[in-house]
Amino acid sequence: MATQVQSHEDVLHATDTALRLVNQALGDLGTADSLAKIAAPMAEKGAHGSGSLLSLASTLLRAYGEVASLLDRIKQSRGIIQEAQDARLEQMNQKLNAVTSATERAASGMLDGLDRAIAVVTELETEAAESQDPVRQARYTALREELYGVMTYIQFQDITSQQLGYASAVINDTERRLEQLSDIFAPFAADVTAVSGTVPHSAPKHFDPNAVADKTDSQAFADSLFGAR
Amino acid sequence: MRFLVVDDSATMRRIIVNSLDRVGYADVVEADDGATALQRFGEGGIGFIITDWNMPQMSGLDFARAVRARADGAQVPILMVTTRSAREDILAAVDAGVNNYVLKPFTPPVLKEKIDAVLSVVAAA
Repeated sequence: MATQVQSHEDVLHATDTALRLVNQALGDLGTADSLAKIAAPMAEKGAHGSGSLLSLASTLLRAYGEVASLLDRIKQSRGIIQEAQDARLEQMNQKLNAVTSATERAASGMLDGLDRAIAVVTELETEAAESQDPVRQARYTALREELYGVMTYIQFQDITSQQLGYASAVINDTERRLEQLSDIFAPFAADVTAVSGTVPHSAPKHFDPNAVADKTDSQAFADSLFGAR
Repeated sequence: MRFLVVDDSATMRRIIVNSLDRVGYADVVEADDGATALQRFGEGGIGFIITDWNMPQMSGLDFARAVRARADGAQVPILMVTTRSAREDILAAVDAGVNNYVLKPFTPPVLKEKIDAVLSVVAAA
């Protein structure tokens, strides 16, 4: 038997459709009171004749009760979803943005410090050269190279900020999906907007979700391509 | 030779500019996205472009395509410096007309090596 894997968009869409159908069916049936009015004559007839009519009426009443109870629980869960959407995800997004800003400020401060340190070391290197002290000069040169090396490692800030940008986009996307889910669970009197098959990103992507520090294989692949040109 | 360094991260621009200075290229103009970079390029005098990929407004890939579409941009060397390491991304950069590709994080000697490689290919052409 073929297995069909549904995406979460498909599941949301199917849920929306199913709930709409249930809602419509319940609307057609009306309230439990009106259902009871329909079922009562059936039950009366059943008492005089057919037992199956009595059984059908009681099954309908029980089914209505079950579905109504299920819908009540779904409506309650809407509040929980909205709380997560409004408070927790927003808070998480703010924290991620704060981390990005903090690392950017820290990286900038480190670069400022390195610039100053390199300037001082270059001065000392020049003085050593002028005083014809090659050993001291070599030490300053080595120190300057170390400082440049540290500068290279500050690229981690760009890599982490791209990862945080991705995390933030995932949170925004989750927030949108929860909003759509919450709309499905909205009171059925309200006009419900159907969940679309795809959930678009609100912002253009300017981050790399796969940003990592070690990419030796990929660089080798790029070198093989560009080296051959 | 004047370099145009394009990256939305101020930190990365500083690192690239510092690295260029260290390997002997001090004439640099900067831009923080592709659209601004295209303006800077239009002002003239750019002999080499180093661009990031992931940027707001206009990505580095679109910027490279836009430069290549211009009459004065057909030959200018473009080096992509990015975190994007997927093979399809690298192939897309080739299609866009990028001359070489450096993955972050890089070291100044690697940057110099790629610049030299691009310049030698351009000079030979």
